[in-house]
Amino acid sequence: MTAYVADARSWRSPRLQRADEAVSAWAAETLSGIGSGAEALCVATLDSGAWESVHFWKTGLASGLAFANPRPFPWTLANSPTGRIAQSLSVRGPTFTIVGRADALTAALDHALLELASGRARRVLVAALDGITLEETRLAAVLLVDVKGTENLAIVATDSRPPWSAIVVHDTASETLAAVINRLEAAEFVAVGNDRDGWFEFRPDR
Amino acid sequence: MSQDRVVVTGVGVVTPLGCDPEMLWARLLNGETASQTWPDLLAEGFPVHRACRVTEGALEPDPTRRGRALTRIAVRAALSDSGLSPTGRTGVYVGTTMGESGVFEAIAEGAELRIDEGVGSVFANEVASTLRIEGPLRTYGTACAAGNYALGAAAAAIRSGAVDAAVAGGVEPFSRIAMLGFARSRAMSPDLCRPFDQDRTGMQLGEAAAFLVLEPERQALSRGAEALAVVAGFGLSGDAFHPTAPREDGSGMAAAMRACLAGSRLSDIGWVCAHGTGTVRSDAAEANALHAVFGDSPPPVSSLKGALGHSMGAATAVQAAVAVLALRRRVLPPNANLVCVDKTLELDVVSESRAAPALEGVLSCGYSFGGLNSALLLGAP
Repeated sequence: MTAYVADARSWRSPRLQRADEAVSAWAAETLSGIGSGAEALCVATLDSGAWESVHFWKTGLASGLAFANPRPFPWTLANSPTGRIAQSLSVRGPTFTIVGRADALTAALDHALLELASGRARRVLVAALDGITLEETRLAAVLLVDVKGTENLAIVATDSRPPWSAIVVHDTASETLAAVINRLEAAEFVAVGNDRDGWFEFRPDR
Repeated sequence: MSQDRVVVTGVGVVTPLGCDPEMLWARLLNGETASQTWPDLLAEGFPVHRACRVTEGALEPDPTRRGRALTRIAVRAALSDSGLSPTGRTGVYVGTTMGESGVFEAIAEGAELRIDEGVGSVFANEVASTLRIEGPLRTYGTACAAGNYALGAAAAAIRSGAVDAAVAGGVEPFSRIAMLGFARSRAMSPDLCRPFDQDRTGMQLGEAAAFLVLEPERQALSRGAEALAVVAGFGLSGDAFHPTAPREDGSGMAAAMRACLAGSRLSDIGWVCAHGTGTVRSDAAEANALHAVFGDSPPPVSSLKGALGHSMGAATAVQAAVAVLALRRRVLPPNANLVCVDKTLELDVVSESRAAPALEGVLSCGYSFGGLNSALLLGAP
């Protein structure tokens, strides 16, 4: 399977106290610039909803369960950022939230390429986000399309294990995708993946 | 790319109405409900005290490992039922909503645990490490639709040749965080959950794990395994509408159903195992979706949530397991706790177990917060 990277960006933001505010801000101000027209959405994350779950329970215990504020509850779910981003970008096609470390990015790319190859979508936004309410929030995203264009950043394809020099290895999906984007901006060949889930190579196309 | 059909060869369940499929099936047909009031929830000050929880089986006493125990039991049962020995090309596909919720609760209460001990991927990792599976591990954190996501992704991976077989399903240990969140959001019924009833008052929380073994039909036949059902379709859509509420016209749900049923004859669908949470708006939206897809006479409909509660990430996996049983026996299980069907929905809600000798297909639906909709079609082999 082959697709094209039409756009790619990564961000790091300072601590945002509330997940809904953080994701709403990203969706409106940053992802809209790259994800406009996306017909499917694949989000990879390790901890979306996790810290919000801890916070919700802690504050519920502090207030007394009968008086807990229910408003943050939806953000304890890992898929809430995906839903919020889909709402902001008007994505009415398939939306995935894949939980894991860097392997979640591999899975997200796999689903994105399947959506493009099947014809169910012509533009798929692949996003990785971690640490939503931690000291530093990390978000990276690439827009994959099914047709070659003059302004495409790279070709992405499934492959057997690429040379070690090309492989980007980081702990989380967001760090890994950000590193991929950095290498692409330097017009370097780069690959991500693992032997369990498969490999994806990105070849500069400008 | 394999053109072989993807079949179900094994089913494993851990539910509040039984930890083996035969027990679960018998109690569903009897119209039983697992709903009860829990003294611990009352003592801890929860606004709602009713839930459906697993009480039998060799359960892990440590609440920070409960979901992993549910997963292990259901996966082992599914593999035993199938007779499949996992190889390096067997994938593990898991859906969940809250992850190992007990870890988050313990951290909030001061325990020194790492946050990644609670995230949803711990369940697939548990299966891989205990069963020494070396294939892909995928975790879908897509809330109440997560089981369908896992099953659909597993079937696609088998068709593409990425894996030779898969263990796929969902798990949700009882979550105090979810219990609190839904109760304080006033989404919960204070007594029984009555999906599609005119006096329905909300959902009820459950817990469960359900896993299915999927493999190519040719492989199943060659090793002498029985094909219990066929994974015949899968569809997804997004509402892009609201953080928690569905589109009232059900158009997003209908889009997932249509995507799932593309290439199938509507007349082959003999039962809809509905999302049916028992909330006023969600049940009404689902009824609208069914009419949009099937016209004036949708197939008979039941929800399992009156019997089992809403086990969130496991719910659609449990539905898939029950759909397999219904196809095998050609009987439709009832919609438990139904007193008086909501006539405005214009649905044929199954009030008592019903013979369905011509049953060829079951549409199983699940929708999550954020408007992420899913539908899975299981067919007779």
